Amino acid sequence: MPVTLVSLDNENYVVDKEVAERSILIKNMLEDVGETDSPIPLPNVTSTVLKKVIEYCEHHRNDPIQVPDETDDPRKRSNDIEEWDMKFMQVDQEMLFEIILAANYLDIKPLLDVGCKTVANIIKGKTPEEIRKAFNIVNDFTPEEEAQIRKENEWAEDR
Amino acid sequence: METPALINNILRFVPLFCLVRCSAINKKWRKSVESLPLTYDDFMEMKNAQSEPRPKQVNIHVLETAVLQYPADYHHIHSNSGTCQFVFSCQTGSGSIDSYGASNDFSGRTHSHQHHAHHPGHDHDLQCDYRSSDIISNLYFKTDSPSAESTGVSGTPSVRSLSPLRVSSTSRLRHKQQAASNTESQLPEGDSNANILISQLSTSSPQATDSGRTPSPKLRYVPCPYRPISDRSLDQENSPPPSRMNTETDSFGERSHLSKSEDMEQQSNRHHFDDQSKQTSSLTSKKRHSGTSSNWGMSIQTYYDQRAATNAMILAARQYMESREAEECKIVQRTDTTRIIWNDSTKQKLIWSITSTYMDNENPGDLVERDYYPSWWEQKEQQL
Repeated sequence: MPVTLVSLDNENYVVDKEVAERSILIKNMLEDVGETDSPIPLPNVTSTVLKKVIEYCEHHRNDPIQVPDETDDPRKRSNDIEEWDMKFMQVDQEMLFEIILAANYLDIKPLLDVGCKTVANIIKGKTPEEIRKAFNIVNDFTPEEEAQIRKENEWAEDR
Repeated sequence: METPALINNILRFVPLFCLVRCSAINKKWRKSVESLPLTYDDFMEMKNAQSEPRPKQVNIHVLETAVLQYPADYHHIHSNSGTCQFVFSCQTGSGSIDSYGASNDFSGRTHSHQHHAHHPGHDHDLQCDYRSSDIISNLYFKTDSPSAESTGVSGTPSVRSLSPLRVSSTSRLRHKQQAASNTESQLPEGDSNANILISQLSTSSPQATDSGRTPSPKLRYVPCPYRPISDRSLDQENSPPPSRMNTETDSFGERSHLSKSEDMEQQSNRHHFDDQSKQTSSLTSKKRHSGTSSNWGMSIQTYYDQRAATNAMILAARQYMESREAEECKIVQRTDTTRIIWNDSTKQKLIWSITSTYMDNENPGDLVERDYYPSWWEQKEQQL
């Protein structure tokens, strides 16, 4: 059964139910309202981003649902990004964060994880200043606070 | 990006050893890092991770030093007693060497020169080894013939080939140098073979300059300014170097009182330094072909990464130059990254400069850089 998704800018996208249900948010909505032809509004997602999200969900439509493993350490898995996902994430930084935000909102955990892994991989090996620069993050520490942090972190810095 | 939920999600995939840096990004990130449920084991892992060799991003700095020796009587070239020569035991064998140069005039301007003598069809940048010089033990000569035998040099260590990635990043720097180079002083092709003797040019004996392969009885050794000349490296037939050179250049020897950890660090640094030198150092040499203003010099380019062992080399060079400043030398130019000193009594001009090159984080070749910590490897070997 097809489902119609409506983006923030009123673009309609018709997708298979199983594709739409990769989003836990949509899955729950469909379960709540039962079978309906009514379009599902997604007011936090623009059409450009929604198109990308649908592309991801289409590709992964047959993937098994992830069961969270409490003993698994995600830090050790930051590099295990599938090739297709890696290519999928080769987008500009603005789009990358838009996808992450959309995945968070739509509750698509695998997509959220891939996005966050991509960001984590960018962060690796960078200094705080380089990270700020890479992601356009404002440094709101005072010089005194910064000096204090630097002192506290001395033990962990490279020799 | 900066909602706590997203930051927390990202932090789930950030390696433990990066968390400390993440905590210094801004207040939100700090709060998120501090709220992570880290265990004692996590802390220990973070601590251990600091001593593990790992790829890291580096900023590469190029150190270039040069000692330009002018004739004692600057306006009158002696054809005999004034002859000075550098001897670089460069075992190029089949005749391929990267030769850089720096020529200076009294205005303090430095021009870089580069010379490539390649064999046709040979990809020099991807297949090369370095051979050490016993005369200047810090220096390694880039050749395309690892099996080439040396002439008059003993104890040359064999060294491993460069990784292509590393070479490419090095050659990028070189290309930058080349772009800025002045070609007037390029060496003739033939000079890349065997020992390079760069002689004081004399208008009266240009022939001796170009051949330059027969040791002169008036040889004079000019050391790399960071390390003493190795006694065993001196050709017995040649006159020994002035003794002052040993005392002036033993920068590493200054640290005679070391704690245990410093001992370890120094050892580690030297390993790393050797490794770095083999990979990236190149000898530079120059000569000019112009009459009375001729001089000769040597320059060395080496690369070092932040906080790494080869910083010691930079520091040593700096100390050396500063010690010369304390002598009766005239400072021609002094900035944070350059020193040019003129010693009128020895007619030497000493130059060093450091050029920073920020590495391309998108280029994997710029990230493959590993520190060497002997203790870590020993532990690993014991575990195996």
